[in-house]
Amino acid sequence: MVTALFDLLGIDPARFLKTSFEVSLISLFLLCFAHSAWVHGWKRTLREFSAGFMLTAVVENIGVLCGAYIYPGFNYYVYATPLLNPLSWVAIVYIVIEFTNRLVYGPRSLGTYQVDGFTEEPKDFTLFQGSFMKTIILLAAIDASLCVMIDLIEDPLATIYNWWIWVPYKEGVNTITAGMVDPYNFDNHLWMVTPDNPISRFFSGFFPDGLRYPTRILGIPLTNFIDWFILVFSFSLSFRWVETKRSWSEWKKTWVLWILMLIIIIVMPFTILLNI
Amino acid sequence: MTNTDNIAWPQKGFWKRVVYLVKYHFHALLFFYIWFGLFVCGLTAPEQRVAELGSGFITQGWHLSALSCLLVLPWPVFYMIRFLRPSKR
Repeated sequence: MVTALFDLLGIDPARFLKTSFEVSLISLFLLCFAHSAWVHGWKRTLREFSAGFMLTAVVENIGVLCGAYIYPGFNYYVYATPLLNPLSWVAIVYIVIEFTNRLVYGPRSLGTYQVDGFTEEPKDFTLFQGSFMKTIILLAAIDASLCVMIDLIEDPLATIYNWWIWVPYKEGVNTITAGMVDPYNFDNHLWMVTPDNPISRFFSGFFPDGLRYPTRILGIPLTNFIDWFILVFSFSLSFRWVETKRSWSEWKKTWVLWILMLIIIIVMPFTILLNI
Repeated sequence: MTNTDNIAWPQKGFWKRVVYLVKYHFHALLFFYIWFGLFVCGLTAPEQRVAELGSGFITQGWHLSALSCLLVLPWPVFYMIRFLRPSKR
């Protein structure tokens, strides 16, 4: 029915959705950035968005270079990853973090904007006796679960619309090779294969049979959803924890968050080795 | 404490209400928008591309749309219930 409407308008739905995907997600980032700057102030916004951007841009590039997946045919790239990828990741996490706060605390969470003169202590929001850390862990786990639920739909759609392509599960597959991607909805033949690179050679050594990620959910490796949970959980936990430190200066919060991101960047690529 | 005058629902003025919704319920609006995007993309998915997934569970695009109604849509609905229910305070 919807496809018939596209046919009537003379628009190829696949091509339209590939292009609109790029435009809408970059717009989503701009909206979230502007909203955050308005209600939370520039300092917190730059801290959250720069840390999230750096984290995803590096981790996703390593994911591409190690041969797990590719992002073919986009217009703007940060090396091997489309610009929209880290931009949209940080926007989605910004949405989900505040959405979780609203779901958990209800109307009480409305008054937590800097622009409204929020001065309550974080411990006033504790959900458990004792350490506030348990509350932060629970909130970060809800953030990660919501993101995984979105990703359970988004990742199969990504394969369908060529937004990103996972290495297939079949005999002798270690990386994305030539001819594996059908460019049915784009003309920009960029990043169609995993380039030969030291990271790819290093990771290939861990998949001696050439097989990767045999357990698939809706056609997508289970590892992907585990990685998503870990990535969002670790970012949210770090960010929420840093923001509870009200006695710290803005600079200290920023540097501590960036150092935590660097630790996650070092650890995360090894989850790609989970060949389940 | 927070200045609660700022976070009260405006009793009148269309644009004041729009600004209020964008300011305080921005995340829920965009969460709903994300679900809607996933829902539409599922409906428009070409069947031969869905076959690329090799999934026995998802064989047509609308299956993903239906799954999005189960996994993603309930959260904005819970959100609405949470905020439309009269406060006990």
